[in-house]
This record gives sequence, structure tokens and C-alpha cells, in this order.
Amino acid sequence: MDLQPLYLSAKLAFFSTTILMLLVTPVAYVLAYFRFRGKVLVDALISLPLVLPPTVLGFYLLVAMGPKSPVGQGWQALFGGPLVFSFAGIVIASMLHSLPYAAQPLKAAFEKIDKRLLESSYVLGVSPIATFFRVVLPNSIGGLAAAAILAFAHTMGEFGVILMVGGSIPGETKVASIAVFELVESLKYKEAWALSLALMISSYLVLLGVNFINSRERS
Amino acid sequence: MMLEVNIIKKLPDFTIDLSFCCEAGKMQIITGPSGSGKTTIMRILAGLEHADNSFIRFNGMVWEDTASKIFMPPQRREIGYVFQEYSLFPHLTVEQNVVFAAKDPNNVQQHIRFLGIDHLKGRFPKQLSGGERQRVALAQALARKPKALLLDEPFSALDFVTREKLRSTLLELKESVNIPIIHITHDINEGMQMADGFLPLENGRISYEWLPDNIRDKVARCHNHACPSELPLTAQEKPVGQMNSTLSRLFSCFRTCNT
Repeated sequence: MDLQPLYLSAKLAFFSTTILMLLVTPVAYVLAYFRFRGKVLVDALISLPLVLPPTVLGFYLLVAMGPKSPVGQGWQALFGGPLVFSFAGIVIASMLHSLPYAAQPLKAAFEKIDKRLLESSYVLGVSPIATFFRVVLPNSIGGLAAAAILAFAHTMGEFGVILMVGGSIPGETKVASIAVFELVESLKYKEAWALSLALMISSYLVLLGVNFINSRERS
Repeated sequence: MMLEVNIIKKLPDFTIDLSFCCEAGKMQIITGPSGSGKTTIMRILAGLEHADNSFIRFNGMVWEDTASKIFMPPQRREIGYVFQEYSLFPHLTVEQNVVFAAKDPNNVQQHIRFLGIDHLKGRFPKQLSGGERQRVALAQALARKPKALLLDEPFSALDFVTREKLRSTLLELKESVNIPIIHITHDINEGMQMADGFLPLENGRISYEWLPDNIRDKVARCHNHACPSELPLTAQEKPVGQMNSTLSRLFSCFRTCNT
């Protein structure tokens, strides 16, 4: 069995989850604690990938990151290569597709924190930013872990968006789900079985991890 | 060291309109029935809420002046605040909670010993009783060497024996820290025992009408002690509550309530 697609899926999930968590944490915090005009719109926009067909999202991203787009041209100028049909391209696409899976649990975890703890920290002389790191994050560990695990698991199983943005370039964009599709298309059922089983076991373990974290949170 | 307060804030059912001062080493008691605006006043003092019209000055430093659009955020006011409900950090042990914002970590042990929580240092807040939590909250507030102490009904959820113990601790504390202490309580007798100044509130304003006769007489015998300086927000400048602050000023800064 060719393990490269599985390795590529894990690598993609690792990079997109890490970058996504760094970017989405402050956004979720703002959505949880601040009132501003257009908040409902931002909230709905973040959740859009939940209901949007992956091919539709993939199509928009393909256009937005293509060589004729400002983003694509900027990328080309900076790094000397195209953004679409590259590993970096599918990392960005995965991040956007997994956005609600990371943002929603994080936002819920932040909303669960008693606001009096934040006020207590402020009157003790701690700045809002320091309060975020010293009070909010330590009390949201469960939500952070759940968000990261869900984003990771979702990326591991991604198909439509990656196929649209990255195609199927071995070692670059041909992740496990695309490899399974191609194996079935070429009637290589034995290999398809093995790769599918590996994906299913890893997904099951991930969900088991989320449940474990949730049960620990509840207790 | 003097805390000078003049607050007007419109709430859905009434308007808070209050002026008072509190000197270092004195305890200003604010009492009143539930929903009379006590906690809102404390939150405005702490900088956790904005007033509609206010002038709050501490030791010459303006904390809030709506006329000049000055607002000092809570983290810069150098206060200690013990909340009505327990607000210890659940992810930290008792010792870590006290150290959390301590200015001098070497003094932490001194506060821990003073409040008798030495044996609880390794425990988490959820493993503590109500009285123990409030002791820890008091130690936490003191550890940052506050220049004023705000206590918002810290004993309200405690049983009688624990209340008595904490009350004597608080009186000891008042002697040892030379800072203004603003203490909210709805227990009038408890307030009278500790007060250097007594503000009976009803619907956000000073009112003696709701006090029991014997206590009202006692309050009436108190020597009135006016604020040494006029606060900038005078009764004439106020859009609402025209006369109340003047009356407040007359009654609020008295001393020797127990004489």
C-alpha cells in the first residue's frame, strides 16, 4: 500500500490545524465577548462552509487564488510559483473549509467562562491581553483541544475542496481521500479497502479523543 | 489618602445619585435593600461600569470624570475588590490565586497566614467552603497592595459563625492597612459595628426612611463630617437628582457612628 497520500493528509491536517488555531482563536474570542455591528453576519460567514457544497467553496477558492487573481499574482511574485495546485494552496483551502469546526467549539468554550473571572483579573491589575493568556486560555483547554481535534479530523477526510484547488499531484496534493477515489475508479479495491480502513480508524480515534475531552470537561 | 465619589447613573427603575468620601483607614459602609444600586456603585468605583455623570478621584488622581471624558480602566486603579460571588480562578490553587497579581510575592505568605488559609495553599477553589473562598479572595485582593479596598457583600452567602469570624478579621485588617475601605452589606447591625461612615441607600439615593427607628436615631446622632473638598460635579450641574447629592454630601462623610 502506498502510504504517501496518508502521510500527505496528516501533514496537511497538521499545518492547516496549527495555522487555523492561531488565527481563529482571537476571532472566536472577539465573537464570544464583544458586541459590534455586523457580528451576526461575521458569525454566519464563518459557519458558511458547514452548509456550502465543498465543490462550490473549492470553485470560489480556485478563482480567488488562481494565477489571474490578485492573490495568485501576489503569491507568484513572492514565492515564484502558483498558489493553486500546490501544497500551500490546499493548506489555505483546508483552513477555510475547516473554519467553522474550529471556530464554533472555541467560541462556545469562551462563552462558557464566567465573565466575573475576567473582571476579577482586571481589578487585580492584569491587562485584557494578559487576562486572555492567564485566565481565558487555561480555562478553555477542553474547547481548544476539541476545536483542534475536529479541525484536524475534518482536514484528514477532505475531498471536494482539495480536488478543486489542488487537483491530484502525487506527493504535493494527492491526499488519502483523493487516492481512495482514484483507486476505486481504477478498480483497485484491495488498496482502496486498506487506505479507507486506515482513514476510518484514524477518524474514529479522533472522535474518541473528543468524547474523552468532553467527558473530562463535564466531570 | 482620600477617595472622593460623585456618581449619577440612570438605571431602568431609578437613578443612582450619590456623593461620598472615604479617608484612609476608614470604612465606609453602604447598605440598603436588594436592588438599591449598591453593587452598581461598587462596579463604577472599580471601573467595571461607566456612570452617566461622574467624578471619582482618589488621592488627587482622577479615576473617572465624565465632563473631561477621563476614564481610568480597572487594571490601573490599584484597588482590591472582593466580589459578592466567589470569583477565584478555578485553574489555580489557593496559593497561585493569591500570587496571581501579587506585587511582592514575598509578602504573599504574610497575607496567607493573616487570613488563616495556610493549610489550604495546595487546594483548588472547588475544594473550599464558602468562608474559605472569601478568605482566599480577601488575601488575593490584599496581595496586590491595593490603595483602596472594595468589599461587595463578601459575607452574604456565609453562615453566622463564619460571618462573625470574618467580621473580626476585617476589623483587624482595617487597623493594619491604612487605606479607604468601601464595604457593602445589607446587614445593618453588622454595618453599624464596623462603620466610620454609613450610607443607607434606597433606590440609588441616601434615604433614612427605611431604617428601623432605633438605628435611624443612632445614625441621626452621628457627627456629620463634610468632605474637605468640594467635588467638581455640583448639584447645580446635574441633569437629574437636583438636590440629592447635596444632602448626600452632608450625611455621607460622618465619623464616629458608634459613639
